[in-house]
Amino acid sequence: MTLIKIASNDRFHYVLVDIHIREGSTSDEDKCNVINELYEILETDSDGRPYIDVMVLTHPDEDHIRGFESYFHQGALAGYVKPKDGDRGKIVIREIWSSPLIFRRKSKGHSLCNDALVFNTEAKRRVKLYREAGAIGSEGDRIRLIGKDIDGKTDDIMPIVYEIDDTIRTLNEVYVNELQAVVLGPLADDEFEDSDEIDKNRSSIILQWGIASHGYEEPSNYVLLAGDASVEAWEIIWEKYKNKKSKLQYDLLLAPHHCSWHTLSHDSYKNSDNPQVSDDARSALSQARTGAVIIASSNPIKNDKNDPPNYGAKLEYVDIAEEHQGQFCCLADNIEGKSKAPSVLTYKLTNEGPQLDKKVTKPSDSGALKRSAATSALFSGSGEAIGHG
Amino acid sequence: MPANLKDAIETLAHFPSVVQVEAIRSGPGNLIVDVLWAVTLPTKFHKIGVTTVGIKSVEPVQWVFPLSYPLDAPRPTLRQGFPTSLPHINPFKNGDRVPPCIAELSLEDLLHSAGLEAILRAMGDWLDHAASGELHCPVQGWEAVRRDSVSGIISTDTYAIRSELDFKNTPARFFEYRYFYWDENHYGLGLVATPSLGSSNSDFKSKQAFILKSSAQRYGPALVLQTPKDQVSRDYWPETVSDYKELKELAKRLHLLDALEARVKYLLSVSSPEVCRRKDKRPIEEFLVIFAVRRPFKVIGTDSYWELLPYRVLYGDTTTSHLPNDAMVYAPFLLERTTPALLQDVAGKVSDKITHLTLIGCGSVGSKLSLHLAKTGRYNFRLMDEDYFSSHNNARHGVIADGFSCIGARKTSLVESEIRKLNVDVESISGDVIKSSNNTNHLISKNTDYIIDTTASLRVRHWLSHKCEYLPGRLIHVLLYGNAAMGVMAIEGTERSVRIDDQTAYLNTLCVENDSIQKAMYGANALSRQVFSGGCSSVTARMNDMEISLITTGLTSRLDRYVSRQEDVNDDGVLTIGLVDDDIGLSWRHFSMSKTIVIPKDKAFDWNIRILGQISQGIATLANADTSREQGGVLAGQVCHLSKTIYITHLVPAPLGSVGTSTRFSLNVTGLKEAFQDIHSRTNGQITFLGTWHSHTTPTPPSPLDRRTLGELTENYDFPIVMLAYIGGRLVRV
Repeated sequence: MTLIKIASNDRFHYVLVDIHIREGSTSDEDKCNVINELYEILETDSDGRPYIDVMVLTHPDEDHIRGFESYFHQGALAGYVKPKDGDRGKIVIREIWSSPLIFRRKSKGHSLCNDALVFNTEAKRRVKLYREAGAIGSEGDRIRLIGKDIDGKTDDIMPIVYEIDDTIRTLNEVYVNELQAVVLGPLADDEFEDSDEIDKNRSSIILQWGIASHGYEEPSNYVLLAGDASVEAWEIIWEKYKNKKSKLQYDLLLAPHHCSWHTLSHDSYKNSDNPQVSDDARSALSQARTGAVIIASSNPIKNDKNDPPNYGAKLEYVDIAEEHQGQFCCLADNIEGKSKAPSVLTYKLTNEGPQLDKKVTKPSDSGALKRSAATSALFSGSGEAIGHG
Repeated sequence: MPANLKDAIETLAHFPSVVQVEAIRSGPGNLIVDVLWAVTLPTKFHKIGVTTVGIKSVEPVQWVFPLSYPLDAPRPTLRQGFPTSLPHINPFKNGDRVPPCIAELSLEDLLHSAGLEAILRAMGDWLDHAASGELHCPVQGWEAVRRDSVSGIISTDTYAIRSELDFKNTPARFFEYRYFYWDENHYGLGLVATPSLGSSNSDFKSKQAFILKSSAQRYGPALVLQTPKDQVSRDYWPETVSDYKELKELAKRLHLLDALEARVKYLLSVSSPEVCRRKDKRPIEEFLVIFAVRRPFKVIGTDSYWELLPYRVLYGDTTTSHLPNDAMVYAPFLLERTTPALLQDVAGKVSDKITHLTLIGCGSVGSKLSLHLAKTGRYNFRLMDEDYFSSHNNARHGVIADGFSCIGARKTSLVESEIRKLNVDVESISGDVIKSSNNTNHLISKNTDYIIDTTASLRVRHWLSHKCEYLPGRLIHVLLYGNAAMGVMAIEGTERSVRIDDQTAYLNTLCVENDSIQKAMYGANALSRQVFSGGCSSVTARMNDMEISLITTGLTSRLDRYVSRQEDVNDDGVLTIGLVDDDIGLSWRHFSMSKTIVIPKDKAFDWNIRILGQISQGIATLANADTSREQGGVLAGQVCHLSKTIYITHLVPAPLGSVGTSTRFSLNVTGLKEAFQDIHSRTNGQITFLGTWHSHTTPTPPSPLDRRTLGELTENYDFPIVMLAYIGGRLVRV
């Protein structure tokens, strides 16, 4: 789960890319309580509802959509159920970004978990509203599709479709000067050699998020998020962009498919004696900028044959990072102090690129942090009130 | 070592960013702690350990703890050689340690508000922001160029200058520059007058450069050079200019060199010492150059992207055509002049609309009200009062005057003088507003938006109500009652659809049912005659400045909110009453008053009848409740014998036993006498029996019976008696 918080003008815009919220994670002290962390960061709207501006589902695998039904509001906002005292309300998604996979029928390669089915229902509801009205609806009813669907299924709704190579500069219908997100995927089925069968992984949404520091326009940070995009996808992408490498550059890369070997290789790491890395896929994933950080969102990576996460893939990413004076890290290892559970890894996206944020956001500080300034003590959110004399 | 200091150093040593405490030593009156501080560099600098501008992953920080700690806060400084081309560094002398500005509020406030850790966190944040190039924060704004030493103070209306810059982008503008020297070292105090003289050379002429013989005040040129609007300067630099060569280098960096050299050449030709001497004038010594630099976000403390960088340029012994490179240039401090724009900014409400007020009465209430409003920067004033300021006025007036200031001074002049200090437009007319006005337009200017009567004078109220048929602005009546226990603001309806005499009649009526209002208006604290100086007396009451200020400030704030449309505004009149309780609490009541129905006098009846909107609506409601039978009741209100006006402000229900049929209404008068005795008692006789009303079930004119009954009623009373009939949806006088 990746939360991107972009400051623009006088507010923050919240983009959530994929979710994986286990029921047990709210009480298991070995697990990061991700939903709790999310609620701590998010703001509430004028009706007291927590919200995100955009939710991106890269692809509808369970480990990318788990928790959707339980923690996110579905249906029209008019039907929002206020939480009981002491409970937290469901999170409102003002705009959904989805791949056109939501239109595909169930098949061997395209079965959906319950959360994905609920997501599909919600996404289809929003598309239906757009089709009926012929116009983009209100917050909570909005959707954007990333990539065109096959057989002309999206031809009548192209105003809400972002196509490959488009640069996105709006979030929830608000122009964000600091944002330039380039659409690299999902790739069309016919771009793959075996184009008959749907593969959710290779159909992942791939976005290069170019983000400028607050008040600036030229991105000084690039974040590459690619879901579970497979080796085949990266080979095609390299072929397309090897002469436009800037579209693949990154400061932060979430290692695709939880640091899977199959992102980099066609061979089985477990069953092959000498599994080979695809040069093209590796090249596509090697466009790191100086100091880039490659992050595995996975369990701890052990020196064994497991996949994903995979040790061989980790070694490749470590090499790539070191080639660019960067580093590789696994979220499972991001444990602070005496805690048993991994912590949220936070980077500030600054004028000079990502900067590790060592501080933990506390609720009482959120008001101050929302208006964080160069001299950070300007708007101290805690301490005794200072009066006016 | 004091325990407090020991604890503080312990806290510092264990702060997460502190890698190592290098040394602790005593200084004069302080304790100096040198530590190594871990800085979080952006990831791209991790391997090399230093940023492009020179921030290292570990920086030495020196903390100076005063022995008076925690009364006084510790202060951090950074190494000599720390990059100084960064914003948010306090001014310092070359060669000294670099003092970062880590908090906008004072470190003492931060310490006492949030503790030592807050200061340490601020230091850490500052270094991290410095490393990531984020010391300039768009939310906070662009920090102005740091000037480690300033020479001179220049005061000007920067809002006016910036407004001209925004209105039209022109490379150069001339302004009038006035200055004099504070000391022999050329420490100058100056003022740039706005608006600009113009942008062409001919807009500044030789005759505009001179020295006033009487005051030694100099008049010369100020030159404002503006960078193109689309050329945004994102570079921050500390001030280094000290001579004309360096000024030209800066101009070159800003792409303003050609404009500077061309305009300076012209200025030399009309205002250099040589030119002045040739014209037998004492030469002026300097001129002012202001660079207006477009920044990527608004400059801190302003609502503008334009940073203004002023430089005092000394001519020296120059020829007419050339200013030497070593001509001295001083960087003065630019001081914002008090202007309405500044006042608006500080008061927190900016508006293009300036509201024109005519204020009648500059006594305690009028002076306080006008000064409060003037300080918002959103009003200008015409003041009227005939009164002179007396010593006893100092106890409660908005202005304090003594000695010659209060001998023979008009109150209007004193208030005008105070308002003028704010550079707010104001004029005053001293004299009796009534006697001075052959017609109201003479005194109340046509562009008046609101006329505020704070005189509490019944005579003025009578004049405004009955003698001024037309007023250019909406009339507002503000006055206090009961030793300032109650304040009243009455705002007339549009086009005088509800007048202040209607509203004060209704205010009297409120005494019937509201004890607090009754007590304030007619209780023991009502006005009594007080004598404050020999042979002189005035009708007023003893109350102190705090009491009068409390309610006046509340009323003024209400008035401001109404005028600036922060409260519901429509065509109705508004009556607002503020009541101060024994615990100094304020409570407010608001009455919206719809249009007053007026039945003018005629040959048969020599009285004007004014029926308040809520009364006419009340009668309609009662009459329409059952249209098959006649309804009726008793009318009460106020009578003004001087203007021969009857105000119907109150409906007394028909007593039990009254009977209505389809053709007649019989009023039972049992108990009415006692009821009116009580009303008289509570209102000092102001609200009284006025007559009766009844409805007709069919639209027929008043019947002979109606007229007979009116005749009988009239014979029994000295007052004029009114009988109203509600016929066919409207009220008619019988």
